Amino acid sequence: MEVIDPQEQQKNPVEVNNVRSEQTPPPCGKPSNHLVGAVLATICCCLPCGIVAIVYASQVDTLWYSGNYDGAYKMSHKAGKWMRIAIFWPFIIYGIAILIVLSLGVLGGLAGALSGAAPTPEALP
Amino acid sequence: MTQRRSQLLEGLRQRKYLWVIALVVVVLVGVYSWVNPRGELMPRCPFKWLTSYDCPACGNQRALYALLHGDWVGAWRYNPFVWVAMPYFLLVVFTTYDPSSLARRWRPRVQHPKVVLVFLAVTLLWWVGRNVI
Repeated sequence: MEVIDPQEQQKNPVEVNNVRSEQTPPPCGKPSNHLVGAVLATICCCLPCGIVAIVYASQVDTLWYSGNYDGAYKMSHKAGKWMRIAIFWPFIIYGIAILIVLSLGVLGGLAGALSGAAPTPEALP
Repeated sequence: MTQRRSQLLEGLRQRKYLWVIALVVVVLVGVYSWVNPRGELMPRCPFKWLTSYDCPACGNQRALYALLHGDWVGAWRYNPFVWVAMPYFLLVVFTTYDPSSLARRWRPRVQHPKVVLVFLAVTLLWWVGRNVI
């Protein structure tokens, strides 16, 4: 027989297994499931983060329609976070790589210009 | 203005995602009609640069270039997966953003968790498979 701790019951009176007992959805409305961004990220940009985003995004609607509004908001937040990481991380890496290549090119050009700038005495007649 | 034309314009106004898709299509067709992705200025894949393995989308620029120049075989060969993934992606966009009742009816089936996970499995199989074979 399950022993119910009265103090714990006071803290969480309606949440049993994270499902609220009332069935009216919150007025903020259904959160976006970010599936569009997650699918795009998985195809084009970053596969590991895209996989995480797409797994979370696929569950948002199920949680919402089963009455778990809190879980749906949290899952939507997680899906959105990983989708943004998946889409922006490759651009950041790419940008850093371009900066490194450009700065190496600039340094190389400077070094070449500085070493070849002094005129050699043999060139004069 | 007739009623049908104003209804059509109102329908287009409600479907702003179509404008984004149209813009992307215009840019892609405009760029890839002339520029060959084998040139130096086209975007490269960071994953391939880091690990030298193909990501699922590798080859899609060459595939699009081939498609716009009539090379159907090449368009399929460079990246077959993107020609399957892109229709599913467009279906997801349609069922997410379109206000019609058709989109709302299709949404639970197109965006069903099992369908999404099947798509993910196909993507992973393609990713691993194209690097192994």
